Amino acid sequence: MVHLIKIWYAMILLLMSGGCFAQWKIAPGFALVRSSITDKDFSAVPFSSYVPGASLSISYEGDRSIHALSFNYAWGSLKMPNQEEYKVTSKFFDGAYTWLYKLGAAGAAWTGGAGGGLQVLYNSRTYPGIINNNASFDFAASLALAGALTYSFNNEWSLSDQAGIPLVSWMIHPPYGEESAVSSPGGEGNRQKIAGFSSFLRLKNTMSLNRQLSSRGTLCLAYGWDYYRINELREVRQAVHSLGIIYRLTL
Amino acid sequence: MHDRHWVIKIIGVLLTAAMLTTTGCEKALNLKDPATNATAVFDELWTVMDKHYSLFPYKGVNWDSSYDQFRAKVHDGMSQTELFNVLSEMLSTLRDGHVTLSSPIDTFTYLGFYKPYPYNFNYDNIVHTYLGNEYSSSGPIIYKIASGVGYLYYKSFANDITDQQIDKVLTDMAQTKGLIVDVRNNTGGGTENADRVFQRLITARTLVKLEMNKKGPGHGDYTDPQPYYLSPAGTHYGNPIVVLTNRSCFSACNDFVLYLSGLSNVQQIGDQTGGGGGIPRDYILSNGWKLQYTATVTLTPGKVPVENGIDPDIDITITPTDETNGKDPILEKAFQSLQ
Repeated sequence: MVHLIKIWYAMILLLMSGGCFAQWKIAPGFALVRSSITDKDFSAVPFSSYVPGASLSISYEGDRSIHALSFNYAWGSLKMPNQEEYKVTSKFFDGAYTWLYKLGAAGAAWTGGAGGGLQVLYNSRTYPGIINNNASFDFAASLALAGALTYSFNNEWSLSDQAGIPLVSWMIHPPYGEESAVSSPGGEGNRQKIAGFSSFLRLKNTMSLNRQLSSRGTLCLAYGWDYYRINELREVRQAVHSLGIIYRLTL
Repeated sequence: MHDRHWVIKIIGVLLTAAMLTTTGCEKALNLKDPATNATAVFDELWTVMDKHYSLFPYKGVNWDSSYDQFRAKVHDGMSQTELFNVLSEMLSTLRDGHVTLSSPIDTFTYLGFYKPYPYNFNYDNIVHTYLGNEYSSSGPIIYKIASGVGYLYYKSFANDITDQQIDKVLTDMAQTKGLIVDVRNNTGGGTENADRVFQRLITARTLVKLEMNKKGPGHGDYTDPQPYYLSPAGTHYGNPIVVLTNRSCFSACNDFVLYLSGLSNVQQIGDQTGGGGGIPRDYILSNGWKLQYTATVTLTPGKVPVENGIDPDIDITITPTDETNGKDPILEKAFQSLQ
């Protein structure tokens, strides 16, 4: 059995690499996140604050393509301006699998990739100061377009940008006007739909300034933003800005 | 040196582009603070109620006409107090004790469900005349046994009761021939407290009410009635019960009396309850004022709405003379019926 697993693993690596070049990279990071959300079931006034965030990405780069798994998580208490007694406890999770077809010659100053992948967003909120309707969530699993661009100044410094936009999403939302706390996509009575831009619009972008510290380690200063808007019976809009440090290690 | 200047320029251009783009996207997503002028707040409150208030078909109020009538009184130069008064006046037409508006200036609550009616309750008279200033207590409940009949008073379902506390009361009441459950002036609170008491009075899983939620913004957009069951729990009491009510028995108390009305060993004496058949929710207006509105419709198992209260089996009123003389004929009738 162990031999079979090893053979399968080697075959997957070979297929993914498409050739001789193969690099695994892992990149944990921490960020300061500014999160602002409007859930029109509770108020038209945004709840905003700075909260901590964490990220992790694992990528595999072959000759022709890059596969990447990324996870981001931000959590904290958001406040209403001038109304400190109204707060929302927010937990925002974002995960993605991205496949990019490499563009540009190896060693060139400009390189990039184009492709797509799967994005998952789960944002849960509880409002302790508001009776009965004190929980809500947004869930969306999306097929998305993705692109990346990198400019290398020299062997040490580079600037990169990666963006993604969902094309079609499986969206789950709490029932309209549900009075009991609903905070799980698996809850009874939730509304589900396959959504296009008119119902679920999301734009996500990350820029990073990268400095190669060694042959295997790169330190990145990353600025990202992630906006989404749900235009449904329950209208939600969120903007997340993050500024963080990521250390990318080539395995 | 030359390369570093280019690096700085490119970084600056890209960061500027990113900031401009992100600012533009934030505006497109309309994440800025909404308008807080008087006309905007009025429109916001009216719209929230229009889309989410659950009882328009039961109140006989034309909400569109209310917009025309009260919007004419609102202008952006008016004071916050004037705006509060107009909004309160509009909300009062719904005659719903669950509809409130809280602001730093004042709080509006509709009190018409009990204010115009006889009070039918005097706590001091009960304690002095009938309990002799001596009674036991367990959590939020005071209670006493007299001549083989138990009496308990639960002042407010906003005060939590534990399983142990209610079980203690009913264990002490086990040898009584009947129990008076007094919930007059109990304006509601946590339905879980009402549920906890009721579960001690049943021996089988019981359908106690139906609940309809809004499923869309239309006034009549309701889900199908959802059944709500309670199962037996804790120390059971199965002897005859008399529940005492007045107009101030509202919301969760109204629900509690609804549950009891389905039991064959229960009689209701006093005045009808104040109603409040629905669960309230909150909304924070753009100017920070908090609006509370009824978001569901509570029905009896027979699909009759209980928003306007539950009638007693025996209707008795405490006169001013009774009260001056320290008498409570509602309590006396209950005691008499359990002898």
